[in-house]
Amino acid sequence: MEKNILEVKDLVVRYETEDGIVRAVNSVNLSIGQGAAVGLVGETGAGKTTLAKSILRLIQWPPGRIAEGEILYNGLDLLSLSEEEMCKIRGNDISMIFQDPMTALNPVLTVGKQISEVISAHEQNITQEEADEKMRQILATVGIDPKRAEEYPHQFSGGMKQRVVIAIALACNPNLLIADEPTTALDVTIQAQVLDLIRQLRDQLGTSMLLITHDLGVVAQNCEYVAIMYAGEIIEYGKIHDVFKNSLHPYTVGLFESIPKLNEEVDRLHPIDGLMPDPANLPKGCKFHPRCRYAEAICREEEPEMVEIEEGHTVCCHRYTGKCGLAEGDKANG
Amino acid sequence: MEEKSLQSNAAVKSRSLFADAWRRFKKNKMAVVSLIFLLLLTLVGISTLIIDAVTDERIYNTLVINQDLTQRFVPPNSEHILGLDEFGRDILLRIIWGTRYSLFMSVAAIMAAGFIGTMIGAAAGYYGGKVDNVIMRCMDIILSLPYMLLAIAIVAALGPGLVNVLISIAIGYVPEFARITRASVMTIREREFIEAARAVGASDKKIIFSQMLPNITAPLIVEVTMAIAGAILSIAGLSFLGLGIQPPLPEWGAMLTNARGYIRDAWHITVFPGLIILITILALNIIGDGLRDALDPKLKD
Amino acid sequence: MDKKFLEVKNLKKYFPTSMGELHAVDDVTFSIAKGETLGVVGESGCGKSTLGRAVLRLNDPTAGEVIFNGENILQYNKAQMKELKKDMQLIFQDPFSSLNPRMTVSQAIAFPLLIQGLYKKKDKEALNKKVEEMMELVGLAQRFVNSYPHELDGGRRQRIGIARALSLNPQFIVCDEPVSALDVSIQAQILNLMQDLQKEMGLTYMFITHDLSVVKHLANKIMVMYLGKMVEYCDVKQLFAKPLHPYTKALLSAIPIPDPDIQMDRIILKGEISSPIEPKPGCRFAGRCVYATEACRGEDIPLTEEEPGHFVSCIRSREINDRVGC
Repeated sequence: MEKNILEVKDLVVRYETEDGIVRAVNSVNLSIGQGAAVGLVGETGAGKTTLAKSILRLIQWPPGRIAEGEILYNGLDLLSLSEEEMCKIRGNDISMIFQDPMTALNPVLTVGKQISEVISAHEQNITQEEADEKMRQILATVGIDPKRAEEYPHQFSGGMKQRVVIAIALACNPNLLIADEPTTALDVTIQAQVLDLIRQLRDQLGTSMLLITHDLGVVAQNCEYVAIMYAGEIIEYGKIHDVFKNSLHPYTVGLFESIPKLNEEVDRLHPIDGLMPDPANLPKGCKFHPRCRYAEAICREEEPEMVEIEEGHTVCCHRYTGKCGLAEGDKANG
Repeated sequence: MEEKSLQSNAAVKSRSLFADAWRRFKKNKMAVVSLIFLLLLTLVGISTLIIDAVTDERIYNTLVINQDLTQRFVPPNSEHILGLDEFGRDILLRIIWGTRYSLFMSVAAIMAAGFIGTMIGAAAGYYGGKVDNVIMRCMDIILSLPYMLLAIAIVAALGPGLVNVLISIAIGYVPEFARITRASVMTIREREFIEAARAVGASDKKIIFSQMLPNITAPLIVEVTMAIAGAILSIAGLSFLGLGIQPPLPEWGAMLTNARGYIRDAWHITVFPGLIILITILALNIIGDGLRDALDPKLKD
Repeated sequence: MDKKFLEVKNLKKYFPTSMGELHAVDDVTFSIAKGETLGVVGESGCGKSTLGRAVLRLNDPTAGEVIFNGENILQYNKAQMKELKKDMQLIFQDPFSSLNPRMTVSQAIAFPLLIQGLYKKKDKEALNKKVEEMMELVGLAQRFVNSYPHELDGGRRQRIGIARALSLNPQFIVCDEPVSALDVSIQAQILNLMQDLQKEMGLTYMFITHDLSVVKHLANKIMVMYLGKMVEYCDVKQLFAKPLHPYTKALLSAIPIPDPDIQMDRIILKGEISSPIEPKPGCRFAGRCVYATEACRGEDIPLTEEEPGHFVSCIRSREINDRVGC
């Protein structure tokens, strides 16, 4: 068993709003091995971003709060740290890339200044010259001409801004990079550039990564493991190949059938019926049962447990817990 | 084509944005109290109009206007709760009868200013370019004159009187409304639902009135409340200077100015009119702030 | 059906800016047959949305012709244009900003009908019946009839947008990225709905998107745009079987495929889309193209028919593609 750089155990995050308590993340277990890239896939409102933010303890109170669970970073429980200690972890050990590069940068500071500030903030006893020198190196690594360090964010295009954001995130050689939809706002050819850059940098630095996205293609081409999230829970987890080639959970299967494919001929898509449940008013039992074509009585009553089907491939569905009659026959077909 | 009614048991209750805003507004205790106060004041004001109509202004003439110099400066007592003024008139009654000048006149002035300002602001924002430039430069000219000075100048030119005061107050507020409307129209001009309306063949007029204006009511309502407060002050100010409502009409500002000479001898004849102005303005401003919070679209979605 | 339903000839749309003319759509020519779908693909800033609006005359094209049912609509007067809106409609990308937040579902659907005078406001019964009909057509439950857009999710909002566009019973619809703001499972629902409606009502679509896989699924013909210019135009099958233009190739290879077994040879393009303001003559893609030579920069590259029905604007396409073939 490889060493896990991050372990999330039974994490529960709640938002307490005037419409009621929203359980955005519900008993999530997730671990990321040293050097590995884990994809976290889910639709809007699945709780992906909340999970990512809670790892860095960036959930705003009010209305959000980490209610239960542990987040272990190299064995250290991040939830027990003081705010000051947490600040040192952010950026130095774990950093985050946000979806929108337009809002992640400060419009009134030059790009170079923003990067060197991060460097000075995290490395004690570094002179301004050294920080500037390092900043130029980093800019060059992410493919930006260091001469552009004196320019302001609005002078950069979307793809270039995302490179700057990546440069800031990697300025202190973090061990873990959390990328929240880093390419969603970008065009495909630019997306390819940025993903290529992230891959190169990870190869060089050995950074682990949690890549959050809704795009199964991006995960397939960039991660080794994948976790599928639905209504605040991880419902399937495993190696990329296992999950993509032998999808177990009906939701995962539905996701694959929903996307038009470039490499196959499909006349008609098979979408998942219905909509995401209202997170303030989740159904009883399995959260997916109202949309599931295999739902049985037990699914409406009892929450399924995670079961391991093959090595490292777990799923959270009654069809595989042996409590559901149909399971065996269908699995053979699937 | 199929939409399974997954949550069909959950009845769909529709709340318009205003219903939503009202729900939030209700949580603001201060604002609700202010609103109740203002509604009461309005009610009292309306009932004086009815009383006058029914009694042929008898009460008005005998109790509000009629002087009784033997009763000057009587302090508050059980018969006259707020006391009597320098001509022996009941201050409470005068304040109540003054509502029509202070509150109703400002409402009328602001409504007029709001209507005109919204129209020209919408035209400036929607058409842009030269139309916008001409209209907004005119507005800038009005705005560059001190508001009170402008009102004084207009009244001085037209002579004092209800209608003239109303006009002078209204003109000063037109640019405010024009600016707010223009800015709001410009932010939604590029929204896709405007284009959608254009794509089905709606005319400019139809787009402005049925698509744009309903979407900019929120800032306008807030501005109306705040502007009414300002207008009350302006009317009081003009009357205080002797240019607004003329004695013996019971206008709050006029009451203040008349009482000002006796402030050392009879505190009550200045304090009560002053207090009612203060409370009314405060209430309007609190309501305005409450509305702004309640209507803020940022809280939604 | 032989007669061309919609024909666009040498359409140009330039916008004046303070830095010079912005060539948003530059010399675009294509046609769509009745009941077919043309996919228009390109990255942001390539002019595809401007093209869609120019075809509907929502902006005034600088030059060219748009021939709809045999008549050049760019010469229509105001009254004719209003009449034409019944036949040509638009579905928007963003179901959040394309609906008026102050209008209920029924008001939004009824609006076009009232504007066009097909129904009278007084005739509530007939109008409500029509609205009900439209809601059923797009699969919106009746209980939402008085809901406001902010109470509904993206998928349902997009259904309202579709119902609004279809309420006038148009023949031709420009769909401007109708599913790109939606989650995949909802996206599939909407795509299926659009396919069903096309069959049922004989609609003709011009489908604008950046997502090649959606186009492949839906379109018959495809047009790839780069910086206002058409770079490739052909049948969908031809394009995916054998893309000819270097940009199309790069675009295709850049799409991440959700299958870990397929590792594409990615063509990573250098640099970014250049400015469409006062572009220099020559191939617009030359700056990022690995095959670019001096000849590409001199003058504009015309669209040529390399194979039957397969148009491409690249002077080196034969060279490049023969070499790859060998």
